[in-house]
Amino acid sequence: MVASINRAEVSRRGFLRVSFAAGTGLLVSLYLEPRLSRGALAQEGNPQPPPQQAKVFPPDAFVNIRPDGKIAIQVNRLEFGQGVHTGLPMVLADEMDADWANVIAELAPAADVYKDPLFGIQMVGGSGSIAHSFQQYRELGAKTRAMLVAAAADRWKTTPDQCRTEASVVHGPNGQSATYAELASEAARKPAPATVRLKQPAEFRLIGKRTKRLDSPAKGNGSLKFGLDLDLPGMKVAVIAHPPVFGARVKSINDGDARAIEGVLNVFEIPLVKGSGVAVVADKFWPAKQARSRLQIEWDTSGIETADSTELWTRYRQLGQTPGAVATTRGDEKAIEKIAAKDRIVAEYEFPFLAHSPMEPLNTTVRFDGDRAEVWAGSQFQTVDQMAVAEVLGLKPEQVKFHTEMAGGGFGRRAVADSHVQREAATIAKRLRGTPVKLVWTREDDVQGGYYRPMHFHRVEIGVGPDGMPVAWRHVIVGQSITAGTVFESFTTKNGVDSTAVEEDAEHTRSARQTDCELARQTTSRSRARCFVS
Amino acid sequence: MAAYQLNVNGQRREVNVDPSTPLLWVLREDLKMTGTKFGCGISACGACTVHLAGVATRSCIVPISHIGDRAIVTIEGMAQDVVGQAVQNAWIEKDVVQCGYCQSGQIMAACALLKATPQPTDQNIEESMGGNLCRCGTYPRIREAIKTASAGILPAKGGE
Repeated sequence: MVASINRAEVSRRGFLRVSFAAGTGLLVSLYLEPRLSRGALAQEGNPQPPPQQAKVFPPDAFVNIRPDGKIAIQVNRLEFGQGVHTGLPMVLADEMDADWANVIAELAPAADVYKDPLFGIQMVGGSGSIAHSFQQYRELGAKTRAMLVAAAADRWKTTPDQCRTEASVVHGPNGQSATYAELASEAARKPAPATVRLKQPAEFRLIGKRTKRLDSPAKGNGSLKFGLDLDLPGMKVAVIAHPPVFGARVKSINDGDARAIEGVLNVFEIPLVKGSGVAVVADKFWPAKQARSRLQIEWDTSGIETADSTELWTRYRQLGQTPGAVATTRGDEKAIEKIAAKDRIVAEYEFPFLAHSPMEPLNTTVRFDGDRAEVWAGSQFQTVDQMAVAEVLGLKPEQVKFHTEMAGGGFGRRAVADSHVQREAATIAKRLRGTPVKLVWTREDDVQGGYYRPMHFHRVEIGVGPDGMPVAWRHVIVGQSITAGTVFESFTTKNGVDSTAVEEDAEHTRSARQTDCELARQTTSRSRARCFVS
Repeated sequence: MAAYQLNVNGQRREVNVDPSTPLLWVLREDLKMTGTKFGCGISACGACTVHLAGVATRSCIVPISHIGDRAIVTIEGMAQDVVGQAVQNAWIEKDVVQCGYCQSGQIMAACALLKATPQPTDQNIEESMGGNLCRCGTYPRIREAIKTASAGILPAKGGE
């Protein structure tokens, strides 16, 4: 995805809070309200929370300085291999001068404070993890450090500029020193500076330095828990028999053999985002899967769009030769047509529908308690998925506590605008009120049941000049829009062009040397395959 | 349902499950040992690799009724194993993991390889590890880490 969604200016205001939590002692947290309105800011000091205050869970956390010196840093997006679980804590810890050996990273739950500063929702995509939150995490670190230094300066009757910091310790001008943990409660009473000096690159201790991943040991000894490894008291496991074609509906179910399997608790039809399916709930995965294989289901496929690969490719190739919506042009867009055929290179590329196949099969766990719910999911789209679960359960998003689980890969498959996996899990959990249920998509479900990376056809015509270098370039992209019909469409699609489909090519043509170019694409249909590819 | 006596990481464990239940799911759901991962269920990806009587085995396709008294060793048992320690240390030294989901299986496959072939060639590594898929593409670091572990287990002779 491109970073064009909601570039609304981020209003940053940080302050430290102190809170007490059983078992963990004093927590000092830098709390950031990314989009607090001016009205809310004016109410500072008012003990009543302003009505438009960001809904936050947990109430106060990017940084927790614990009494034992451990510093827990919340990571505002999914870790699924890209390393952000280490990268963002490095950025914050560097500016904070935190002792890296005592830094702990945690994946943040869904909350307004953890929204991507550029996208305006909590998500990861488009390789934006560090790019979007680099400045944010630097400022968080620097402000935390400034408050700790201010507390130390008070203690020693000196000024902050007389103090220096290193490895979670503030050093004073006369040989004094105090650890961050010792200063935490005093620092919590300091106002957060409105502006703060950030380090010069030469001062970086972690940024740009080779640093080992924080999650390496736990991923190498089997102790790290991914979403699929979740085990809750009383938890049940569900699998779904999805329709053989998108949108088909259950006509009849014979579940006698399925129910006969020991450990199977229930079998029932559930509505899907498109069509319907049959859920099997069991006390464990194996009986659920065995039971599913014994279901006899008759499907109603009437009125379902039928797709044929050969026909689709023929249509895409034809569209590749016709004018379409123009994503970007430079110079003479007709230049390519003036180049003699012998000086033109034409290349065509076919990208078929592809299953993303993240190593960890898709899964989501939900417990519905009537007036609230809890979700555990390796999600690239926390905000969207939380809203979807809330909608299914008839709750408000803030009544849905959404835990971000470590994910075994994603590649965009965990960023689906219709949140179909989370909706399925919520639909089953609604029926099993009070019981946590883990929905597991098997590998077959993922490969057979989509959603896929959409099929695309590229046709590139390049005019070559006398020196062998390109002088004209036309690049036509034909494919489905992954955002059409979703909440993202208004952000991503302008003049008929879905920017997510052309971003890389548009960049390349812009950077091409002295070349007249045109980049066009068309959307051919609005069905299926709505997945982001990161 | 039937009762089975298992030897898992040197400990005697008893489970009461359907005989068709794959070892993978017994480990994960009955014994709560989730280090062994479910990736495909058809022996195609290697994420579920364990050692069965010392042989790297895909636990997702071995029914519990076929285990008998063969010793089962999982990723959770590797910290107590000399080769396992060397491999896990090498994995950290080379920062092998990314998403990490396949790595339990990778490490189990690497340990089996090094126990049989302490100084593997690139070809040995490819032959032994080729069935363990990594969607993040950590293969070059896996190869490096295996060589690092190999050097740690058996210091190269010849005075270098």
